[in-house]
Amino acid sequence: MRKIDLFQILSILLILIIGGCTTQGRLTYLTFESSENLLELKSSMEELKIEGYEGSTQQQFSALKEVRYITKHMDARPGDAVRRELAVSALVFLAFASDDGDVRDRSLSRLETLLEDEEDWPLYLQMSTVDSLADLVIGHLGFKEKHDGQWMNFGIRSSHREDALEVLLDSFMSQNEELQYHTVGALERILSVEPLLETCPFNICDEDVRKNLEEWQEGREQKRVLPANADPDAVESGAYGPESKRVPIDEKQEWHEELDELKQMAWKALEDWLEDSEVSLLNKSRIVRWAAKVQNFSMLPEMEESFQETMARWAENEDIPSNIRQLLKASQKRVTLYGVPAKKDPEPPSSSFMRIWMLSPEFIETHLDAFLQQQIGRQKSGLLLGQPRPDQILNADFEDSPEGRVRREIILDLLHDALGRGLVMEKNDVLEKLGASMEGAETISELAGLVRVTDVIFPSVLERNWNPQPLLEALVRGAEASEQIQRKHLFLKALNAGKEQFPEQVSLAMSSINIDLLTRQTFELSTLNSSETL
Amino acid sequence: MAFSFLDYQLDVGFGGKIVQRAGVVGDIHITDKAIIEASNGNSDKAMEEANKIGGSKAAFAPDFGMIYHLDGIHNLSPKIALSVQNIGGLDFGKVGKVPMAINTGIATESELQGFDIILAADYHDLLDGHKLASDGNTLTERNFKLGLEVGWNRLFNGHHLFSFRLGRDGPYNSQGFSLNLFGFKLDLAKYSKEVGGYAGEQEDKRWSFQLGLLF
Repeated sequence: MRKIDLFQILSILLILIIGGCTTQGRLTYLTFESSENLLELKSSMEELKIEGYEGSTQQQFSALKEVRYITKHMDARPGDAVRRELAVSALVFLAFASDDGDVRDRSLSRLETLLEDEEDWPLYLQMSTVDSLADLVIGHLGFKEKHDGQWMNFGIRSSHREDALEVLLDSFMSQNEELQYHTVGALERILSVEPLLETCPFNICDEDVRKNLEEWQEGREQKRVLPANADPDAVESGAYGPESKRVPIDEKQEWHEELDELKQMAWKALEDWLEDSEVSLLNKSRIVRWAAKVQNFSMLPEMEESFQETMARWAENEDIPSNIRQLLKASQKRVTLYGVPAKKDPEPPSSSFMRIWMLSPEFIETHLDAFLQQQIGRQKSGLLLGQPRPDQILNADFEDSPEGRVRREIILDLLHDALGRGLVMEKNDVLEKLGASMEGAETISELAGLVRVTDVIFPSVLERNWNPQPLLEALVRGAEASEQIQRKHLFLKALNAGKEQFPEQVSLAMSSINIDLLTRQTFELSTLNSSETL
Repeated sequence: MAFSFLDYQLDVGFGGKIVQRAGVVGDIHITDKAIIEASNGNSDKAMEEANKIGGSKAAFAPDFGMIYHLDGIHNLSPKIALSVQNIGGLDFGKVGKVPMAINTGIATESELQGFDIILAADYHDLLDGHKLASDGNTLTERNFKLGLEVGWNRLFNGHHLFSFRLGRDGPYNSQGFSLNLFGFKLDLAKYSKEVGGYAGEQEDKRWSFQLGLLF
């Protein structure tokens, strides 16, 4: 009897020991196999990232093995696209943050294959890889830990960010045109980012710095130091300055400088892309048009100056196509003439803007923003807009040529910005036409441009008290008809953008779409935000 | 020297070796000095005399091996391997030859409750260069090997802190374990080799103990 008791106790202990040894990689895989709950999947992947970062070699290899498997082979069930995207994000983290060289190499190898091999990997997963790399560079990707009740992002050092940016930049020339378009968008996101406390690398901002948002924003309090023989009356009268003052904290300055260096790294790579004949005119045009946005890149003055100098060199570089250099000059001229956003009325008369979508990209780039800004002013004053109305510009027929695509991109970008500043559409048939354009969009880049506009059009629809149904129906039809996952996601993002203004209609439209549970949860739990690459 | 291709799906390795062999391969008459010295128990002298008949020669041969990982089968991670040893054969002239051997095998690597389990099956000398298969056959049981390894706690160098092994080499079983502690690797194994003419004819039981340093 005693023997049996001892045997049973030992068996239970053995089971407990063995059961407790299961690696996080295996646990995450099992969760991914069985769960249809997005939050559960995300939480399990976060656990895996922590083990992949600072776990034992056994744990790190198990994590690597499972994320490599999920990214490549978990594709049979509905919702597996979401699972694969989560795994890609973890893989990007492991590729730079794991302390095991083999784990880093094998993760990186998978990322490079993903970015460069368009035959074996779907576009949505390639784009997800680009997004995750950009997130890591910016500082959004890491592992989350709670300190004193506050969630903080850890695991990514400054050097990891540089490495990730290098991988993204190096892969560019091997990417297909659609992915290059997405990468250019991701780079713009990196260039526009501000040095925030939440994205500050943990080797610069430790736990104590992160807890103190007030010091980050307003500076550290520095007491006035008075000389021993200070005259009390002079002190009283303020001759020695205020009793204390706020000085910017060193960590903020350091993070700003580091972020500027990352941006400079990206900026230096662009000239080669502009010279390369294999990069499309559309992608080149997007890059040179950043000339008008440099001032919004939140950089220190010296770095901004350095960017301007680089662009001055581009303008004279004869290896860059002349139409691209003309567009670059047009962007610079736009800043000089009007500022960004425009603060003055357009120089050309209103009649010059008739059929603006047929004019040269340089004219559109230079003057359209000022024209739209003038229309915003007229709308606010209750004046008639005249021609062309914003909806006419949005629904214009663009020539299907490389130059036509550039015109379209500039117009959609500037309309997006103007709608964000309060431009309101004039005629409600714009919704039906916009929906039709989206359904008819042939490429992902074409659709992405329209989705960006849709993202900001709903406030305008609400202000006019229009029925959003024609647009929502088109978006539902577009999502249903899309076989390509990335295309479907874009329609869903566009639909989701109206959630704030039309919660019931959007919710109803969303529920009518035949999509898997995980994709539905992804969109229900998130709102389209400006930090997303489209 | 090893490289990985196709996103770590294909591992390829090359190696080379120079082997020096002394002695003789062939017929020796009973009156030869080597035999006489050997009969008198003078083994050094016997070897010296044998070398005079045969000689001493060095030969070089490269080796090649590759492993293909079938990564689509979850938690088995099967791999297929092929190796070619002594490419072109090692030719020592009068001192004999070591033929080229082509070996193949499959293995799986699974994780169960924190333990890594490796299962492997190999067949050595596919072309029967060593002439171990009986007449009329190309395969022989003695060239067929099976193995099981259960490892716990994988370390930075790819080895486990503790591994337990079971194997079968032709008709004989083998057992062993490894410990990797404080930079030392300790291996203990009990195995048998066939020293007869065919599988199962004559078992030679052996023990092996190795102590190494890990870097």
